[in-house]
Amino acid sequence: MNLEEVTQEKKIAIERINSVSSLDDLEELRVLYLGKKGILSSYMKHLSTLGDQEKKEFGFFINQVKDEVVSVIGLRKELLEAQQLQILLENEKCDLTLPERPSYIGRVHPISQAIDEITAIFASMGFQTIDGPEIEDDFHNFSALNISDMHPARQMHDTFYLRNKIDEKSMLLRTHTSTMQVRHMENNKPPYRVIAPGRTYRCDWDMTHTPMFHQVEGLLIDRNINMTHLKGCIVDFIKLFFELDDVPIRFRSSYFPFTEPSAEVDIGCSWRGKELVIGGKSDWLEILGCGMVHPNVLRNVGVNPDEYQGFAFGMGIERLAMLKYGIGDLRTFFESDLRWLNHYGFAPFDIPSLIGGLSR
Amino acid sequence: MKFTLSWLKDFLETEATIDQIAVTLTNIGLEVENIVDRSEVFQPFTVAHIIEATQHPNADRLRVCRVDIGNNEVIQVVCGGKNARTGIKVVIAKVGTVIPTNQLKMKLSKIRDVESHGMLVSLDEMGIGESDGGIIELPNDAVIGEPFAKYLGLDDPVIELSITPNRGDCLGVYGIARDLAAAGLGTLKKLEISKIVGNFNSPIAVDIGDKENCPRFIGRYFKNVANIESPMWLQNRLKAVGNNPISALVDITNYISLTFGRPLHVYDADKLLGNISVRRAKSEESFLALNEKQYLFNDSELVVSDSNNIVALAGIIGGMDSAVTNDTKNVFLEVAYFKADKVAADGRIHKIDTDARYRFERNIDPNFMEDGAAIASSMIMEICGGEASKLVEQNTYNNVQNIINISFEYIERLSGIKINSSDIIRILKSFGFGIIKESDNFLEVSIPSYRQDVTQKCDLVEEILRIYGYDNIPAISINLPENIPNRILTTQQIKKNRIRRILSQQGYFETITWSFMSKTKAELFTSYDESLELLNPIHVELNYMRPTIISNLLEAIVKNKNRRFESISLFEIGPIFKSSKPEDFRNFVSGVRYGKDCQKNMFSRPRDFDPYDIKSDIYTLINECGFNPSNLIIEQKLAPIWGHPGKSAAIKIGKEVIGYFGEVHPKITKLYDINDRVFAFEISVQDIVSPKLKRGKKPIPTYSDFQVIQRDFAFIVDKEVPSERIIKSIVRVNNKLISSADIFDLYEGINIESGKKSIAVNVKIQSPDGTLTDDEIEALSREIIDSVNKETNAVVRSH
Repeated sequence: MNLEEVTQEKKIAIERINSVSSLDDLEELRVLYLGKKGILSSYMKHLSTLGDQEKKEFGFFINQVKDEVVSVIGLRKELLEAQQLQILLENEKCDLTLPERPSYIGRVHPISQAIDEITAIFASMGFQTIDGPEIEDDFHNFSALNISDMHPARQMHDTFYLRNKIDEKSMLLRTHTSTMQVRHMENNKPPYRVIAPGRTYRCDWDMTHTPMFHQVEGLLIDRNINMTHLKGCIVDFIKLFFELDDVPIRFRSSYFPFTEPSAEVDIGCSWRGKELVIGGKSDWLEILGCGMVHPNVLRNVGVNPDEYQGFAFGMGIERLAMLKYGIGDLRTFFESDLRWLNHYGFAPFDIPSLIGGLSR
Repeated sequence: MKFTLSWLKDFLETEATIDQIAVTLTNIGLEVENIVDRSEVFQPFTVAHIIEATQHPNADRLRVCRVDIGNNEVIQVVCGGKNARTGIKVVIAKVGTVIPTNQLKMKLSKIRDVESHGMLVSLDEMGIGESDGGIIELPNDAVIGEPFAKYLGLDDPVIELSITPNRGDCLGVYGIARDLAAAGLGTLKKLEISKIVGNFNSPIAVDIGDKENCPRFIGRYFKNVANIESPMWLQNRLKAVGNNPISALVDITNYISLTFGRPLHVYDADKLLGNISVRRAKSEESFLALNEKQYLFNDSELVVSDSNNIVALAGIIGGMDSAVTNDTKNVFLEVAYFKADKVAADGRIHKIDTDARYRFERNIDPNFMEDGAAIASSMIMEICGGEASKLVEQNTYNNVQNIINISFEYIERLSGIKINSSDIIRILKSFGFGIIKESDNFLEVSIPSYRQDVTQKCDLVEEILRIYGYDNIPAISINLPENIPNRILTTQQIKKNRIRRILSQQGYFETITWSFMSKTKAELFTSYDESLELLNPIHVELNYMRPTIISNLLEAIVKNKNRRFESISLFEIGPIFKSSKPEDFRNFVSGVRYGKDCQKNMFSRPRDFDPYDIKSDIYTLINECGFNPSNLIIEQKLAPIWGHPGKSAAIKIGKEVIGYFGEVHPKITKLYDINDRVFAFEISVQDIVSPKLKRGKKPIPTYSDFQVIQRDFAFIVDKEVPSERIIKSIVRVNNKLISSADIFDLYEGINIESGKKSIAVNVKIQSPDGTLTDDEIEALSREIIDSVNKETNAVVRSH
């Protein structure tokens, strides 16, 4: 065994290593040369037969050879792996124009969306949202709101009644959300600043009426609230809701038993062909009723009208939703038609806020 | 409330245009619903003269007319009107004009071989009345070639207002004129009422029994009248507002009602027996009303009666037996003050809506009774002739003038604006309010009797503002409250919002359905509770307040299934009712899934929905509400009535059942015509326990960095054993070391004894304190097997 033989063997080894074409073959060669029982190891065993000086030189040489073989194997391995990956990638190629794996997402009803929008707007003015019962007694729906038993306004309401009375009291389905302002004032001390959205019921069913519909009631009672604030609040709401800086708004005198003075509010609109557009003054559309809360209403819930006053308003949510979202027919809101829900419904993450915008 | 422009101008001196009048009316609270100016539509239809009418050579019923249409033009027209004859003035539709009722354009035509250059029109072709087979005949003085409308009073624009229930005074044209004058649109003309004294005593006397509800009654007897047709002007006005002329006497009462808001009634005096009294009806009394319906009274209604019979339901409707006819010779006029509440109550009991009731209910002017009687008397005698008696009257009306004190400071406090005191006084006076006293800061205002709606100082502020103009009040944005609320929504609303958005994210579509349903269907879901039944449902299928939402959702499935949807997932969040007590409602979320879980696609075979889909939806939404769903208890023993007995269960938190889920009972789906499997859930939103408010704070985390060991176990157990018990008995062994136990396989069949099932569980074990030794893991595994065996008699499946 001499250096020359080792050099020769190294040459052969490097040639063999550089000519293998698979990682398995390469591993075989690695074991053959570098394994515990490999060729290079056997040279090391040979060392013991040599004298000190020779042992040192020969050992150094063998280690050099070993390093060289390790490095060649490493390079070859890198090369073979790269080649193998290349083949793998080529084989794995797929047609990404094929359809995606299906996923299904539903929609939020436009009434819910409108309520969320309205809530977001009034939240920015400090109004909290309350709710309340839908089966009511006469007091909360009428008497407390200054609508006496024989008042003609009761007939305008087309009230649904329940068959049975409770404690001699007729029970009914609330005809407006104003019931909730009464309950709120009964149970809390002024000041009040709340909105109350919810279902309401009237016995009427045609092109423009459904026996169930939605309203939102608003109430602001404090020591220094007057009609200028009523107008300010409503004007701000309308601009924010319709996301328009200038909507023509008209307040005109009207009558509600529970407010005095009372007003109905119209917004200006115009027609683009058959499509109704908010803005312009070619036509007026009534969208809500409001007024300064009647002193009798405050007295009925134990609030002193000489100390506190303020305003209330009520609006039909379907009406607002129809105008904003371009829905043409009131009755479609309650038909559970999946095509309609899909078209007019909102994506789950369309959560209205003044930060992110009420709508897309 | 309808009236015509000329009618209004009888009382209002004004130069204003119809548009100005309309805008003002709406702004001051008398909302204009509609204005119809028919003169425009009728413009092309002109007056013509039949010079000669001859028999059509080929048709018995037709005539050939030579017609002068003005401008020296004479045309030939074939006419089928049975009154078409030589010499009369008629209305011509020339070639090219469009007939309003059918939108047909007149063409030159040949009728049975005779040319016709237009058409002589009838009332019904014009849409203004019934023609009875004849064409319109105009008065002889009608000018040929002019539009015909004015000769029938059709050139007068008709204005329709929606009058709010507080404004009884505006249910007459005069009151509307008064408001317009106050708004600065002209001057109110002074009424000139000539008082007729009467030259004999009325043979009919009046006695009021119920003075509370009828404080005053004025009557007058007229003899030797002729109840002829009303004059043209009166008929035209009534027709213009949709009131059919009947006879002069009836038309006069209607006219005064429409003009002054003062309802009147006339009786055929010869059909009255003895004297008139106003009293309460006795039970079992009955009467045939003018609407040809028989009414049976209780002992409460206010009625007008002669000495024998009831002749009118006071303030609502007269009786047939005492009604005036064309032959009436002697009449008795009633001008009464019936109290609003009584008229409203009686009208409501018997469900009679009349113009009289409408006005009485909204408070008539108790001080316009003599005037009403005087105007009616003049008109009766002018039109029908005859003689008037002296008035008969009973009067206990206490005419107290209502007085309101109001400070300028209050006006400013409520309106937010400062209005000059002179403007305030001017406005109030223009409505007829009296200023009794006036100081630097106070007004004492007297309220006229026609404004019974004005009772408080806030009412006066409204009067001032509606004339001052709402447009002149500035809009001032409100400030945030002193205490800014830290939450806008209630806990329940927050939960509902989260559920709504998470379910729609899961593929459900939100719907909103009626809060009522059919009683019969409700009984499929709960036991009947009569308190939930509606007294006056809008439809028999909607006669019961819903105790569940699922029924409505099943109906929604049917509708969409009929639209060929193969996969339907719907949910609703809304109330369900336990009883009719206001507090007895619950906010529920309910969802249904029907059909396949996906469309045909290249990745997976569409499969039918199953109860586990629903269970996953529920767990997701409960988790979204902040409650850990692994703490839910599923109890199949408490399956809902609507559920498949083997595939539905109650969902409990602790002992409280918060909802149900599972497959809908096949007998129910069959009743709804679905005939396919439907999976449903219903959960009471308020019963999902809300976590304690943490204000954003989370606990300090504890992770273990030590190795997680997984062990799989297969147990053979009785089929009836709920698999959940196996899991619970595993976790119970050591909840510190066992971080999870999940079932990953269920097997029944070959190699498994019948009545048994094999359940495979993957258990993850991790210690917070160190790596477990093999021995420790072995020991734990044995404990797990023992625990499961003890709890369920399960044995480990041998391979």
